[in-house]
Amino acid sequence: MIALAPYLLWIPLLPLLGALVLGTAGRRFGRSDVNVVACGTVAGALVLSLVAFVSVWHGRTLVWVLPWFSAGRIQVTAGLTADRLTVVLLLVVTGISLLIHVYSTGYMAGDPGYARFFSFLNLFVGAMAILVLADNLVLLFIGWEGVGLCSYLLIGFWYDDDAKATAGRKAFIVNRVGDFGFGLAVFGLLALYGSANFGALLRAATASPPSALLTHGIFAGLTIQGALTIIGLFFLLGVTGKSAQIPLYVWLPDAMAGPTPVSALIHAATMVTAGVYLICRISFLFALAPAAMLAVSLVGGITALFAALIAFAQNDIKKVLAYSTISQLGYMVMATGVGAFWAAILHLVTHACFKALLFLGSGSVIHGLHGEQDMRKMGGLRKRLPQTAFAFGVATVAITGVLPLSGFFSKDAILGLTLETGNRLYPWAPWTLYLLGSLAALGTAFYMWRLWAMTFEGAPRTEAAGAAHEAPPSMAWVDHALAFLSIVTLGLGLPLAGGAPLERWLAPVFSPAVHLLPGLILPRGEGVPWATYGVALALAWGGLAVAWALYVGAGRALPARFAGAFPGLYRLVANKFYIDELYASLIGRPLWGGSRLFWRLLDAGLVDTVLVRGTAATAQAFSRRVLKPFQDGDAQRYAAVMALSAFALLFWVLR
Amino acid sequence: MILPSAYLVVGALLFGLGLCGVLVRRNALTAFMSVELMLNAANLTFLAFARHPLRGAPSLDGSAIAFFVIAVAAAEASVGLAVVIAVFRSRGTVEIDALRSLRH
Amino acid sequence: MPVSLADILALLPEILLSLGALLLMMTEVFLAGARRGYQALLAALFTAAAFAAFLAQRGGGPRVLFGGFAVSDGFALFAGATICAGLLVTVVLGAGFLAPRSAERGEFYALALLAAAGMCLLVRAEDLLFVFIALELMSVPTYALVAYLRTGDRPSEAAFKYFLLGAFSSALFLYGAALVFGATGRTSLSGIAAAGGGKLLLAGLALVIAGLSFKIAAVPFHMWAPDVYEGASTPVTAFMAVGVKAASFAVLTRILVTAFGAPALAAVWQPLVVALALLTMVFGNLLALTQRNVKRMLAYSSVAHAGYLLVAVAAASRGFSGPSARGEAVSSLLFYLAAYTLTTAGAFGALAALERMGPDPQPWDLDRFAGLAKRRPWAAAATAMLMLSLAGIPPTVGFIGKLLVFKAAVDAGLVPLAIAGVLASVVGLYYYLRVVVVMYMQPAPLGSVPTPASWPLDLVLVATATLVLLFGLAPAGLANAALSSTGLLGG
Repeated sequence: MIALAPYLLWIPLLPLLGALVLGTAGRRFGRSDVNVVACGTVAGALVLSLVAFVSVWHGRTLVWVLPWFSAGRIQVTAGLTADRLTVVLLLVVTGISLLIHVYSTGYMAGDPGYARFFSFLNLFVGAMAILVLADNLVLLFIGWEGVGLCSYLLIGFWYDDDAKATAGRKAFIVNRVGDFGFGLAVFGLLALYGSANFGALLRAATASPPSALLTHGIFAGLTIQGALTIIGLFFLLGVTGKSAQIPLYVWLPDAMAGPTPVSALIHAATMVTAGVYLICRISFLFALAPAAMLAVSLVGGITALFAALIAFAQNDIKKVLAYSTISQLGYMVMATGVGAFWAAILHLVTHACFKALLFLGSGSVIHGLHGEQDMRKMGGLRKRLPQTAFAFGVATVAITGVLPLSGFFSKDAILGLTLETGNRLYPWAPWTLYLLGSLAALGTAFYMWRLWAMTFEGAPRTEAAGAAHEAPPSMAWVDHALAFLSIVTLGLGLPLAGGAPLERWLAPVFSPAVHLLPGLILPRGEGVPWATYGVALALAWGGLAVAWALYVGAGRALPARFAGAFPGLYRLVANKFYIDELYASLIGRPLWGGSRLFWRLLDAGLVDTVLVRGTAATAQAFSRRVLKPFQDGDAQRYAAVMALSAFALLFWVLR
Repeated sequence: MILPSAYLVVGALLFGLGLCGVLVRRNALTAFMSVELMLNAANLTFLAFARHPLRGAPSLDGSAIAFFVIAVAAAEASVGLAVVIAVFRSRGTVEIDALRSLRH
Repeated sequence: MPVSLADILALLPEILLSLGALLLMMTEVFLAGARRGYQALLAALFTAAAFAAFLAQRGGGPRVLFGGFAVSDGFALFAGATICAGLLVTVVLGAGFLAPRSAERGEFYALALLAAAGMCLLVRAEDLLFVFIALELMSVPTYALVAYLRTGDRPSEAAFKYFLLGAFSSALFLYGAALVFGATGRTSLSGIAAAGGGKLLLAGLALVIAGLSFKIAAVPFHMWAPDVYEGASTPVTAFMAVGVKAASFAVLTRILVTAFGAPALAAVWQPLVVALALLTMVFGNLLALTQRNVKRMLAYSSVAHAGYLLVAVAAASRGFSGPSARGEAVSSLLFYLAAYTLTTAGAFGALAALERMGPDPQPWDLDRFAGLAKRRPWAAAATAMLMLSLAGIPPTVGFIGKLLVFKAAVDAGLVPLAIAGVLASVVGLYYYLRVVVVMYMQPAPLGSVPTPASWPLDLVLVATATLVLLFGLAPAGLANAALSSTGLLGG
């Protein structure tokens, strides 16, 4: 049932108005006034999102069409629509945003750009709401660009630092490459179906068979499936930019230069998941292009593993979390690629909670250590920061999946579906993807527990770490709220009979896509996949064990009696079975080396130099070396060029 | 009796001469005079076509245009000379080669 | 040739502009006191009256004036109103820019008004003779305006370059017109269309396009633009970038679509325009990329925008799209012209607001924008909005303009051209947003001299930025006005 809901408009409008007020008059406001405006507008958006949720619960699909403008045959409507998928995203976006707004009132206290910060943050919420609510790709693109702009502004928020400004620029350029793809894909869809509206696209996609041959337009000679494959790959390029996948992920680690609440909200919980949302929103188009689906899943799977490997070698606490985010986004993208759209959304929701919490926790740590981000200078913080440690611990358990908290169910839903979804066209794909995902899960457990151990366990390694102080209440309160969410969202993914709650909730949204999937054999969803759960649990604990052994010390507690009886063996145990050394020489060095090599080669070398700086530099060098010399100020040379060009025109028309 | 096409050839030659003059003469005034040559070449062509149209009867349209062009060219010349004088006052020379401070 | 009172009344906007120009010249003779603030007000009043006259004339069908020399149709009225809007901004800019430099004279406004009268005549020209005269009436005062502010040797150099090359291009156009006349025996656009012709007509067409390509600064006829734009005083640059370009585009479109609209001829010029559009978009954006001099950057940006506008011209070609699609292409051109006029005039206003008085070796360096967000938040916000619009980012009018133009191109089957346009504008994002970044993310350099605030300049900035946002959020009115203004081109 479709219902008109004018209030949908106010979900983006409230934060945008807040941004406007804060941006123009914010400097005259006191801090508490800024808090009221910033948090109040977002809270209003959350309330409206809840209203929308309840309404959708009652079986309605909400729409509100603003006749943006129509001129002749051109009708551009800014349609907002809220279905079951939208409301989930809306709740995540407004809910997490509200929490992070509250957190920021503590974290940013005393910053001279207080009002400016909140105006950007509000702008972001508004843009993200537009992205999620848009009923067509053009409006979605507006939100897509809007969140990008806010991200860019917030990464470079502390612009006095040159490196931070550079990071902002890098994020910007890389995302332009992605937007290239997005723009071309939208144009392709316009050329193919003549519309960018999701409803119209769905009707068009289901109306004609994918094997139909196109006879005119730019896709002449291709089948619809072929055209959609090209379009899908361009969309994928857009997704790799926004959601930080190989090869365009390089901007995200650098984006950690921004204030930590920004990292939590934009670069972990919401904006970077926009790519996943996009694929889910046009799932029915991807479903018609199996090759594009395969590419999506492979990009996701490889990114998941690759980013986890890189996280091993990082010592900056936020960098570890950044690579972790890339890896987790890889899971989501991989899930969409195998048709497990609901699992991708589930992981999106749970990840939003626990990753935001991890970032905020790291923010509390950094805050407590007066800006220190190097984990080698931490240690023993569990006793100094008990509140933070508790919340951080919950999140770490959730992401690694050692206990069945939210992350356990969402990640294992993805892994299980990856394996169980048969692929008629590419029979090797399920196993390959499962392997990539499982190794990444092992890696996740390792680097996260390594982070935990280096930060919270053992003894403080510096004076600053010994004198760390707990965060102000507003920050701690948010940490606990997110910890609570990280636990309760497990309810969404419980493998109940008839499917997980979120699976059933989202089924109507994805049913067109699932019916269209030509090459994939979807699992029946009968019974609980205990086997994959077992493997996943084993991997999680394995990673935990290795990390614990290496960074906390397993041999320490062994009885002295044992030492007297077997002195040789004791030395072995005391030296932790020489695992450190063994690890260093056998596993560590090659792995570290490999990790660094990857980083050098791909991250710093290939992508950064060639793709990012290369494109810009080539264009600039071309302009400077080839084009500029013509512009030498000589009027007669200009006249000569004009005369030659006029002759060229003459020859052209007379030939 | 001169062939009608001869006017056109003379017009084209004049246009080419003027064009070359604009491109190669280094003196601003001479270059400017070359532009006038091009305008007059166009005028001659208009007149030739008015007198000996390729189709239809001769019309006065072309001749009328020539008069207007002459008037407009005079107005243009006055402003052009003023600009050249302004250049001379600021630089002390009217060589085009000297006018290259705005570039790249 | 019967001339009725109605014909003369139809030229009311041009008459108002010319009257204003004469009056302003008179004030310089009789009322030249120390205070000349009233001159700007006078010029603004006459401009506003002309603008109102254009608006008041809307609604009637197309009418032929003076026995076929000119027309009064929606296209001309819309383009004329756009030109008057540009002129209005120029006048206010001139007041804010020239008064502190003690360079405010009646001539400035008189010349601008006269040139604008030429532009308004140009957009309604229906005859090659009329086109040429209007073209010169537009160009000659502009040559003088470029040389207006006689400080340093830059303005005179710019004026000379503009004059020499402008006269050169006029000669190209005129010779082309002579060939067209020879081929058809007609000078009126509809007459040329009716007569048709062979190779001679095509040669004339090529030269006419070449001559007008100079005026719109299309690559490779653009090389004068950065030099002249840099050398002219900033209000004049703004006027050239918006007025001259809008009028020349209008007349180019009218000539191509009316006189050369037959499918066989369109098949000749459409690929030519496509090639020019491609070159202009690509090279305009690439050249702007390396500029640290914001004035030159904006000059190249206006070159690049000529490329997007040429896309609309190419899409308006007859024989490649149905009549309604052609109407939409023409309307997208008009809309883009209006959007471009507002945005570019505002952007040059931002530049004028930052320009220091007295000698300054690097007056328009990007560093001048550093830290502007802290010093003058309103000016910075307005400039940011204008840059977003130039870059074509929603929710600004620039985005809608690009959307309409590229949509028209897709509808006309020019999908590769539209894609090239999208890619080129992505390149453009980089240098436009660099200005925003510098304003918001770089501290002002130490020891920088703050520029004095001038309320007319601030007014221009805030007004254009507001309109840019307003028409971006609610473009329906403007888009529909543009759409109902395409009934000109005789079907």
